[in-house]
Amino acid sequence: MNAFSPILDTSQTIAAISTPAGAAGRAIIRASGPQALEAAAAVFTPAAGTLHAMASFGSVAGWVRAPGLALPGRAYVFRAPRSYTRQDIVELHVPGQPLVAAMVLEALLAAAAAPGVRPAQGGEFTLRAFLHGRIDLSAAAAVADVIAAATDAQLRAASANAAGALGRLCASWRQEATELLAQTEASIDWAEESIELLAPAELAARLENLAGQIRRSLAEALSISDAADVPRAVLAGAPNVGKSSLLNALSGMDRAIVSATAGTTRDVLAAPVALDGLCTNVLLQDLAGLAAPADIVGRAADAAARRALKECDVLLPVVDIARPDLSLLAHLRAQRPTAPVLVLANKADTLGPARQERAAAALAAASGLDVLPTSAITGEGLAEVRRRLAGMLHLRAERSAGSCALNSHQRSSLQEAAAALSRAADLAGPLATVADRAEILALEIRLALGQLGTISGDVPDEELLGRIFERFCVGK
Amino acid sequence: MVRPDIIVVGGGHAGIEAAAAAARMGCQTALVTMDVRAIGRMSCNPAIGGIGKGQIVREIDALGGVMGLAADATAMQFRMLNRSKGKAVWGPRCQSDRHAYERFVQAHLASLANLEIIQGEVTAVLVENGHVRGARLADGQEILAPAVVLTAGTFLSGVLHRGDRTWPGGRIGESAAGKLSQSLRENAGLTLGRLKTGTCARLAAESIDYSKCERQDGDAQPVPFSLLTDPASFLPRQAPCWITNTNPRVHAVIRDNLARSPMYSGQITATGPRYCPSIETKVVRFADKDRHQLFLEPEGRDTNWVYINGLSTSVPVDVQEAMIHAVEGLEHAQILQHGYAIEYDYVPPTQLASTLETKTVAGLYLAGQLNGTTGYEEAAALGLMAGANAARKLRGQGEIVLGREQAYIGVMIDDLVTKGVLEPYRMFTSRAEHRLQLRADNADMRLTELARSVHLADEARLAAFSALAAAADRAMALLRQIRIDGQSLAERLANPQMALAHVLQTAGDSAAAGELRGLAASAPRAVEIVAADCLYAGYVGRQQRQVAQMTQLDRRLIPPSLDYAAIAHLRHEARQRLAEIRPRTLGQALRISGITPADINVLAVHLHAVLHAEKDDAR
Repeated sequence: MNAFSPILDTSQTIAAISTPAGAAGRAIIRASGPQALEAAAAVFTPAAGTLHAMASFGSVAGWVRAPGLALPGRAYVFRAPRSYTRQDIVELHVPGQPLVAAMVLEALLAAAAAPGVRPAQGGEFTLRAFLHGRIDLSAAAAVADVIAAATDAQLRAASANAAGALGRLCASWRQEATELLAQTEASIDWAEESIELLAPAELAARLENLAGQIRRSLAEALSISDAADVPRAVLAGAPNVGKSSLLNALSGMDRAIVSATAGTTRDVLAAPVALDGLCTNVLLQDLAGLAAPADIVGRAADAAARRALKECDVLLPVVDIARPDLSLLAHLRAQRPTAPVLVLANKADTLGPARQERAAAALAAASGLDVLPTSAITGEGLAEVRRRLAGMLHLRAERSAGSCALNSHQRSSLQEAAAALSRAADLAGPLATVADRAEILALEIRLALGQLGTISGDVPDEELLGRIFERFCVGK
Repeated sequence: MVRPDIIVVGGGHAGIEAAAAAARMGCQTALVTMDVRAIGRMSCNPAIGGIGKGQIVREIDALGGVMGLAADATAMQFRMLNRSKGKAVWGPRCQSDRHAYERFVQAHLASLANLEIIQGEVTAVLVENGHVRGARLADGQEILAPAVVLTAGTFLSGVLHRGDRTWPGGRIGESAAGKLSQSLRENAGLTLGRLKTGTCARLAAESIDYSKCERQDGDAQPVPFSLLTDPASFLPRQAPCWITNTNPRVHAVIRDNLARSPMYSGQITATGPRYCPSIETKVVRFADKDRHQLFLEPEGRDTNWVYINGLSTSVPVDVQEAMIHAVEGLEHAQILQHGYAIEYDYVPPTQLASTLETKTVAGLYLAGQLNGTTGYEEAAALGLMAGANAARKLRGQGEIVLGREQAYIGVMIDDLVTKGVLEPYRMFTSRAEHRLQLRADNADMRLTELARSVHLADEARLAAFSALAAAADRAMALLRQIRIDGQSLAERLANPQMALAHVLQTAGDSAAAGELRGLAASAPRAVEIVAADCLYAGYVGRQQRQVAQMTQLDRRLIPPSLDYAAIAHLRHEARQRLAEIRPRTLGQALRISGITPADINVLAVHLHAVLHAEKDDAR
């Protein structure tokens, strides 16, 4: 509803994830409109040439980049008018992991090169196709379904693995805000009744508390554009012990290019990993193969790797179960003495079960660290890695429990809601009675409710009178 | 009898305004009522206005209505409710002399050209081919007219309850209109529902011990409702009201006799207003409260009748007496009339267009309590809008529909025809999302131009308004021009702690300040309006942002002829609801319960297609 009017303005460029979250294979981030090429170019570097130079239709491989993320992908360009919307369209195809798609979309929307690109509303690509005469109304007969599906997909993408968490949070905030609004409104419409109103100090405290909750959730939300806020585990180890394969296996996507040639991984790569039962994600940072401990500290090029190691929440050293490098383990531990450590004794598939067990026990005894045999190839031990990770990240996760990933729209809505509530709290605090400035307090609380409602899709007014009648004895 | 253009059925507050508006607009109008002496009667408490309601009275006045003038002329006490709060929520309210009010209204109607008053009971509306043709009276006489405004109040199949006693009636001592309900169902194809309301007992003033009550006086400087009432000479003599309270003994009497209350014995099944509960309901629902406030309100200067505001009840006579006599100050009170409840038929207002014309019968308009509202003010406003729209349609002129951002009346009608009602609808300021602009003080600014364009405002009003508007413009210019400590007076007034009087006093001694003080003395209304504008200047933008999304949709009209059944990709339920309500705009469509934003998108796409197809045709 809120975007109804803009929705008919097709001169704006829109972007959205066009595949349902969780779909296997790949995810598609699609942009349509006059700035689609600029926006896509901001997050996608073709292996050769430029997007602008492409013909009416074509595709090119390249690198998709977002803060804390760089991965191979492919761009499909459909130039106006020979596209679904009859506008320039770019589709970025990336591995089908919801958070990755959300990160790319976030980066695209934030791109300075293409200001004014906004998130597409549900069904908006189809709507444009219709508005531009690309399809007729009967072909768009399923628009209602498309809208529902697309909205859902966007919602799920935006809230990543925490689907529903944001809705629940907004519902609880709206409940409290409606309660406070009822208290405020009652002082206006039932001024002649002898009803007991909330003291201004208490109203102010509850408003500020609510604003604080919203702000905390904003800060703790899986921050797509601020990867530093995501709990992170680091995979570190010597070249060719299988770190990249583990990263791929744990994240469920071809995140890193894996090859049998030692030293393939040249960068600090990250991929999100969903942990069962937790409303959060973990970034596994795969440190470029460490030929020798000195390499880490010695090479300026490894500054990123060093920082990742220092800042990690959990350290996951990876060794070859058959040839564990104890000195490297000791060095890594020294780099990050306080973080929980779990050694992944990889390539367990190369040993039989009995030898595996002996090797792991020996390594644990020698290093003084927890050791878990794993295999990126058979998947052995990976479920246990997730479980242990969840445990080790417990404190971090608890702080983030109930938080979720936010898209830019949701983020700005929550910011506005918190700001309005704080303004109301500031206004209420010094009052002699809530009634004194009730109409302004109500305006601010209604603003906050409206913003929260744009996320949850509700409208507050209906609830309000019911709340008042339930709470107060009014009426002469 | 001259054949009328418009028949108004009913002489309550809705019928009065409908008839007066139609007559003022030049239509030959016939007002048919069962009892001409009951025209303008106040069925419940002797008061006009209140919070939200006072704003409506101001709007009625700005639209050339009767209520503001009648209230001013017959007020016994005047209080500006919420005066300690922001001006947006000030609610003017007066105690009225009920008999004087009736006399004033009856004389006013008698003075109108084009208006004839007929005593009789309408038993049927005449309908032919989907058009109204007139009305039939109980004696069989038929009055023919191309438009009928029905304002039957609580009279349609009204049943009164007191204890286990029930009897038909439209109001105490007046008979119900039994046959009209059937005609509305059968001839007009309308669905009827049932609502409930109630009123309190009336006491003899001389039997009340006022020494045990708290005295409540009116404002020292009362502000009249009507622009045409001179504030300087308004209300020289006011009468006090008195406050007392219920107590645990009163509550015990009620609790002990709950089974004898028709509300709790199952005798009454219709829904009553939650905001105006009977004392039984208050005692049951708020069991932890050991007292409820009661206001003793005089019903007139020449009568000893006193109304007990806060004690609406339908328990049996003996219980009423026991509970009243348990109230402090009322130990020896003599009861002149006992409280009662009334159940009546109403027409769920979703069957009406925004003009209050029924969707089933062209030319048939419904207004007042019949539409599911409660309150004299709400009824009067509906009557005015129905009468004016009936007159406009007869002349082939455009309809008058007030926006939600324009008037409380617009909010009310939009709520009624869009959402319908679950209980009798009463105005609250919280219903108006544009509350900061919809103030009692600026009703003339909001509506006079419209009133002029549709011929609802007479010369006297237009002259008064142009003086007001000129003074307001000048005052605003001066407020912006005069600066104290580097701040304009307009900016100073944005601070709610800055009272207007103080700002004027400390405005310095420049010629401009002198002129401003002169305006405040000669045109106080104008200066009050611009001062309130200054107070909210900083917030109006924020409020507008809050409602911008809605009003954008409200500007997108839906063709009345739209065939929802043909919009194949609309959900089945949405198609049904939309076809039933037939919203005027996309915004209204979105406010219908059960309609989702996705439905609106589909509808918008469809409208866009229709629009483009028409453009293509035109080429």
